[in-house]
Amino acid sequence: MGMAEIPETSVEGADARASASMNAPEADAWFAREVLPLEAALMQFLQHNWRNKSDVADLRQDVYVQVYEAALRQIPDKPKQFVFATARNLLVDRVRREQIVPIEAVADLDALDVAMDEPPPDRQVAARDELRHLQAALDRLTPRCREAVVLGRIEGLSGVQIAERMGIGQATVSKHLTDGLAALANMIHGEIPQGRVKP
Amino acid sequence: MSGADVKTPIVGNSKDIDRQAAAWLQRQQFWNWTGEDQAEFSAWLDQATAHRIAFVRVSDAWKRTHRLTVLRDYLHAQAVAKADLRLWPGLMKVVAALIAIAALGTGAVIYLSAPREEIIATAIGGHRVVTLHDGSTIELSTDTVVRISQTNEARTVKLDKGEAYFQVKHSATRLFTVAAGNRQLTDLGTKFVVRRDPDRLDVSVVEGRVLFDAKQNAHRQITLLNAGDELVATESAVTQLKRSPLELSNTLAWRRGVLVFKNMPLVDAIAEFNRYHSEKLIVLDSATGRLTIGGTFETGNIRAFTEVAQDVLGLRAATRGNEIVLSR
Repeated sequence: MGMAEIPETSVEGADARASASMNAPEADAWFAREVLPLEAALMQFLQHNWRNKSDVADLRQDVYVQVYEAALRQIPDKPKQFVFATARNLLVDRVRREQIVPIEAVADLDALDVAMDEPPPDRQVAARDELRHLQAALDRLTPRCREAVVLGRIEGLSGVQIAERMGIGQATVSKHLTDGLAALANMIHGEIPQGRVKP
Repeated sequence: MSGADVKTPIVGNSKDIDRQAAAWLQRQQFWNWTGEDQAEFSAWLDQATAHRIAFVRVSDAWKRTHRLTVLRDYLHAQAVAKADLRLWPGLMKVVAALIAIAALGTGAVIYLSAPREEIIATAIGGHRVVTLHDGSTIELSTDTVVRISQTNEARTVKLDKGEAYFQVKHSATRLFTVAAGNRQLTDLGTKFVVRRDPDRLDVSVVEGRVLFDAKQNAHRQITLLNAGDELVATESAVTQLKRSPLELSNTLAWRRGVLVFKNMPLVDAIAEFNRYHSEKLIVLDSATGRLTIGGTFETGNIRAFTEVAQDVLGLRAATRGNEIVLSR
């Protein structure tokens, strides 16, 4: 398989010129600005390269944790390369360390190398496309969930007022809002908008 | 990132963590948020990097949905069309379509939850003026919800929350009243501003007179307010103050898109400023909160305010998720 030749230090090489470290609030802002826009591409990458699709959300989380913790120590100066190198190493690492995962779990290690030369495009969309994307995401929530989110976000009502307006209990409103926010986060970050994607 | 660097093993619970983060965010945004909640939340946030990332991630998505407020008119028109189609098929289809077109064309927000009741709302940072059939105007400040019903006998505005400035075309036969919970204001030929916060109601009369009527438990209090009068009603007390024209003008500065602070404790100035932003300024210690600040600030410019706090008061500002923390 030639896995032994995969250089462990490729990522360190990529951020060799990085200088400063960050505190947590700075890292939060850096992460939102540099890493979250890559999520749709990262999810595609993970889905293409890992057989078990139900692992993908967890893999994404692991990539994020590693990237974030590394960034706290040293800000990577090429965030995109760093994120995808981390993802690739994580996949390789899982194949190597977990005996239960068959080698074929990684669809094509050579393809991983190719992918590294040219990371997939990140999510750069025009404002109009973003609005369309948001609206499409909202439309895909379940009706009650969407109603609660619309009343909260667009009408600006409080939880108590949403409960009154919808004629349901506050705990149910809370559940609808939680479901809605979690689903919106996945759709907003993790999916490629229908509009044009900048190469 | 070599294998040896992996600190957090694969835990396989990203869905749970993402859901917990969403649950925290909605608690913060929509429900009464106490000091205990904050402590519990901070502990959760510090428990694992995955928690912190999940919260940053869901908060960022939430921030983006702010753009959706521009869809308000469109969604409302849809709601109107749907409600009307359900009730009166046929002829009403045409009427609903006309209403929908009118709502889109003028930017007015029309949402019929009961016959003849219109709900008008602004988002955080929003500002809009509504003109009634009789020429009276209602100017809504940030994060405000009013319900308007107009009949031949009366004009009633329910202020569910927020702040609104009323310029009323007075009519003795068709009274104009503003209701805020169990309190009611009746116009006697006036311009006045009403602000409803969760724990208090604040009324200032700019011109003419207003009748304040509070029904609390069994007893009822009626007060006549004249130009320059400000009335503050809380659960426990009703206080009346005299305001100079300059003070009134500062109270209404939001109509010009600014906030005017005069030697105001930072913590109070921030509370005012935060009403206009989903991004919140906070101070963590009371000594910093007691510093005073003055000046005129654009309601929409959180950066300018933060810069003044840094330059004039010598504070440090750090962004933390949805918050800007000011400290010494």
